Amino acid sequence: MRALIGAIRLQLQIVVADRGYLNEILTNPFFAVIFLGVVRAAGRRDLTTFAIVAPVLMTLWALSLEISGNVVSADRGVGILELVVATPTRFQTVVFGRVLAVTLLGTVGVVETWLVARIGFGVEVSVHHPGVLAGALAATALAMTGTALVMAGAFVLAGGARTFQNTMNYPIYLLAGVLVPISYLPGWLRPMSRLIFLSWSADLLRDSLQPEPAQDVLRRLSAVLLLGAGGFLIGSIILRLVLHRVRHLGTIGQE
Amino acid sequence: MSRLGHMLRVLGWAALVGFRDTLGAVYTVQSWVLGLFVRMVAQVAFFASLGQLLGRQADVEFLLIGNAIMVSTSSSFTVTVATVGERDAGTLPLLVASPTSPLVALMGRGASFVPNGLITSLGALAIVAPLYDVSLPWARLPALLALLTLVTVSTYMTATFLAGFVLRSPGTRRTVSNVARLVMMAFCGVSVPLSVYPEVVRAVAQVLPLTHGLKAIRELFAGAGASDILGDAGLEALVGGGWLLLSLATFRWLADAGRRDGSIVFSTA
Repeated sequence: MRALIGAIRLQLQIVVADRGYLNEILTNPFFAVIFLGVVRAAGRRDLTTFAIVAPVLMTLWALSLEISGNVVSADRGVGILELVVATPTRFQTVVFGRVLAVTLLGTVGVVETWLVARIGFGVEVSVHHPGVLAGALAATALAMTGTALVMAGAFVLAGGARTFQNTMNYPIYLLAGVLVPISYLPGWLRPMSRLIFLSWSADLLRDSLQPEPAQDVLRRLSAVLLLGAGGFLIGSIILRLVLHRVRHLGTIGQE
Repeated sequence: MSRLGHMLRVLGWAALVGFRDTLGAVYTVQSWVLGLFVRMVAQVAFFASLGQLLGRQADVEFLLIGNAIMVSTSSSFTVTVATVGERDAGTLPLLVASPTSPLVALMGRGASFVPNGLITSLGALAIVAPLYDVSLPWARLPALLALLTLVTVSTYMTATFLAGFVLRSPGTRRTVSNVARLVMMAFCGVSVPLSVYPEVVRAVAQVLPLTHGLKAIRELFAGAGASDILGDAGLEALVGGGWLLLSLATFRWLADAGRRDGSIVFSTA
């Protein structure tokens, strides 16, 4: 636990020094302005919840992509990966803690979006189901961390995969129904959408802001957590394999 | 050779080097398609699907066209980041010390991002528009290409102006280019009609690149007459020219300030 907290503290210090992470947090208010502006221009105030949920999830996902791409390669770049691996603490624990720190930081997007809605558009955001909102945010943060671990492993395993790091935003936003529900996607794509935890998160978060009772909350929260846990498991295995390989080949410090 | 001739010669050579870099070192065909083009197509589809959610085909068309054009202008901001690439490669002090304005060399070096934006934008339009039942004005394609080039180049002028400031503070390069891009996305009529915003925001949008050019492109799609389109295109050209003058006025001053305090090479801010 001490190692986990240490990893979280380290990452928070890195975030303060590295503007890369702050960039993703900066994007949130702009997307909130765009989505709320579009909804207002179309006279569709009934869609305000869609415009509020999307920037929150987009910030979380963008931060998750940023950390998953950097967490191992940055340590390699400054020559401390060998030292981290040589400590008795499991490498996966360190990576998990660092990714979790960034993901938790991403929840600041909730406050940013709320402020834009309130100050910029005079929209009072009512949380009709606070329990669902809190549960969905917590489950999403955990699932995001697990998924980031898979991406971190993949980026290290296949160095060229980092080229596609930036590609993984809009296709995922579209496929996961972050803004527009997946019912608008062609039928053959929807099963694929349900394999992305964000699709369950987006529905739950939107439902938490609607006055109608939220249905099947436990089942849907479980889906988010299960998909996140699957990601964590696969990510841990990939990282273990990667470490074994680079130790064996003596290339731990090489890109 | 006249001064202008020298500048054009430097611009041409710099553009050639830039194209070679872009085609070889920055992108391969695979990384361009999978790393950039797919994302841009998805971005346009993402906003077009928002139009579907709103329930009116006019909204689908508005969002699709605005965001497809935005794709091209986004590419221009790569020059803001690329300036720091020169610094990292150690060539920036040499450019600043040379008798030609470093701005000319840097503008040439980044020129490849203009056709890159045009191809990406037209490709995204060609793929996404039929998926969302938006008709493309094929008969007016040369005019569309001309207007798209105009907005991309005028944005490029703004991006080079920002590149001067990034020289003084290289650590801000991504933040500056991202925020500039997002400001344009939010306030230039890309997704949100300007009528939604307060008067002051609308006034600022008039001096930003893209606002007038995008209006001209929307008029082209709507089948408007040449006089309406040319009027807005002229305003876009004026805005782009204004940003170019600002770049020329400030770049040398910013570079000289960087030479005086050493920040042009040593700053880590």
